[in-house]
Amino acid sequence: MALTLRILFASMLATIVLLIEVSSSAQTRRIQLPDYPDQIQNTKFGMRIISKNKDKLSIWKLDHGLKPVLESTWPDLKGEFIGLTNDGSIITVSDNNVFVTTKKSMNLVLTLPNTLPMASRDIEIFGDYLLAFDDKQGFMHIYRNWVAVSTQKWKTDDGPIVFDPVSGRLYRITAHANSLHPKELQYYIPSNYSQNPIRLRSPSGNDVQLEYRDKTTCILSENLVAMFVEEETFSIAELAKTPILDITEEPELGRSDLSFYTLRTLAIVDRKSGITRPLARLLEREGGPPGEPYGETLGFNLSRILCPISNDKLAFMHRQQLFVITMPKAYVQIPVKHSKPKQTGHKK
Amino acid sequence: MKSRTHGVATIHQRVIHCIRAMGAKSSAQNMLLLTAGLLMIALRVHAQVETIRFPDPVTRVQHLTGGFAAITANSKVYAGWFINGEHKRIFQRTFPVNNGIVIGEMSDADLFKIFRTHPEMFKLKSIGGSLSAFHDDRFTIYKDDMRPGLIRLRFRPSQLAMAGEYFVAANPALEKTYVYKGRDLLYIANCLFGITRCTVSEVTGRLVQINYGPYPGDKSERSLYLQDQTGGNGVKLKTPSGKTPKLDPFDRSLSYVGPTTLVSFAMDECFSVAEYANVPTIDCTVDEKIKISEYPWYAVRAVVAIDTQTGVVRPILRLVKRNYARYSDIGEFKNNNLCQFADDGVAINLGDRVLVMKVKK
Repeated sequence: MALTLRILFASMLATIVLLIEVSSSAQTRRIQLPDYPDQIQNTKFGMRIISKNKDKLSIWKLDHGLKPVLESTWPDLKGEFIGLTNDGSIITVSDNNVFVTTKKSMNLVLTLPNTLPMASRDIEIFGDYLLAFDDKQGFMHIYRNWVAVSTQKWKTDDGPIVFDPVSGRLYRITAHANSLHPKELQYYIPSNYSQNPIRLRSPSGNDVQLEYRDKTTCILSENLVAMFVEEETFSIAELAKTPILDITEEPELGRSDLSFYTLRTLAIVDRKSGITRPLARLLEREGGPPGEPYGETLGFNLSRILCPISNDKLAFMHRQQLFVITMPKAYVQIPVKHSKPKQTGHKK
Repeated sequence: MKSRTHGVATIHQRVIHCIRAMGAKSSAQNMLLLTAGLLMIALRVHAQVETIRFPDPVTRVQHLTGGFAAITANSKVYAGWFINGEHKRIFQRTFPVNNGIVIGEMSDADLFKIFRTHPEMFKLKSIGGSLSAFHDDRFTIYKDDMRPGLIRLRFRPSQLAMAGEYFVAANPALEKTYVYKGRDLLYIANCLFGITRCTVSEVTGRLVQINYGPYPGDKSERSLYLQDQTGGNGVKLKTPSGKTPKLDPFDRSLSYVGPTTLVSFAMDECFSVAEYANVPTIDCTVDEKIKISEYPWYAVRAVVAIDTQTGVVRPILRLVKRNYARYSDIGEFKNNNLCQFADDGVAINLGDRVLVMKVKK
């Protein structure tokens, strides 16, 4: 009896320790995709992976075992692919015309202003919002359901756009010059509970430096937003329990190649306090011939890669890989519910 | 499939047999013991790497029977510590920093002493109960009474290594490696084509060295060979995917961990990402005040296990280090070292801390 009790106690203790360990750090799964994806996007039917091979667009979804399954192919799309609508229709742009294509029809839904030249523009889709960025003029044109909502000033230093699928609202993370160190930027996020934006800070009070290339965000709950930040935001002590995930894609480097390493941190921002905590560190190894300078190719030059899968899982793509991160229990709060997409207006 | 089922059943039977041998009488006790055992194994696997911190930076770690020795230093004193098999720090003694330096341990006697000279001029090692120092071309042994005995090598060795009472010095000009037991020359081995690192078994005194070669054929992709004192062809080193590994040119530590396993440092890029699966990654940056405007620069190294029989080199740990000097020397990991710890572990000196981990066979 005494032996049984001792064993039972030891088992319980070991189980508790294991559970605490497992639930306190992010778990990651790497999925090799059949094709290089152009982007991943959340729709009301779940996450979709979109790849473009020659002129054919393919849309993939993940099955329950997180394996990619081909859902549909689109051989003859008009114009450049922009994204998916909430219900999975294809949005393309040709010249300044935005089209929505389904299996049955193709509709011109919006004509962008002529002041938005092709060379300097970038178009992004967030739920039922369409954002057209004009790099040259420094403006961001906002459309909702294909209707112009506003035009705002925008600069490349600005932080990412955050789209809240629960409220259907779109808000921006803004950048301000640090008054003490003018070369450094301080970022602010709109709070749920205050009119004043909240300054983003690491747990030890450092200003958060957002990744300037990967301006992608992902709402995890009412208060929590995931985004990429620069590694040096955090001290080593703050990163102590953050897992390092090697996202380098094979083929590996040759023996004579010199390796360069880049690290970025996937972080979780609390909108209420602005406290930004590291979730996972992403390590990428790149090579080049010896003597080649620190290259422009280095870094996580990606866009629109963060995407929620469920209330405790989020995904990001990197080259031909998809990484699915299961959140620690501490991060999982209120589940995200997707707002019903409104009828797209102004169909022509 | 049948044979596999049969195999599993056999293992199961053996496990039950073991559990019964431990005293469990009922099936409930069997189940509980099994659960506890599995959980303990899971916890053991999970906690693969442990960090031991010291009050001052560690200059060197060195193998001792039942643990390892660590020497720490600050501006005033050198301190010697013994870390036993339970990873406990046991303070030994301190020495004032005058114009000298303390390095090394004295066999198993837990003895640390001071040697008066400039630290960059020599490497200190230990031999059988007495302090020893290498200075220029002289290898000096200090007995407990601090009166030096002297081995005059008459060459500047490219590699030095020590285990137990054995001492190894490689002569690059003559392509020979000299192995001493105490102060007596035991034998001379060939080290053709340039030695990269060497060590000696503290049990058998058998030399093992990693050399480049053979040259004929491909010079650009020079192969590495594990050779013993006969200096024969030896065993060609290869990664699990069959490539020639790239050992770290700065951290030349090589140490036995068990009779057929060696540990050393290698460059990160000689392994594929797949080969790093399940290998823990540790950030070994020395924490400092963050300056956002400074761009970080990263270096990554691998701690590897080398099978002396097959020559397979596999990573057991990855070390990431963040630096703030752009284009800095790629040897950010230099001046670290590693040594055997207990029977099947390795102690890795990262300067501000020492990592200890078991090496799976």
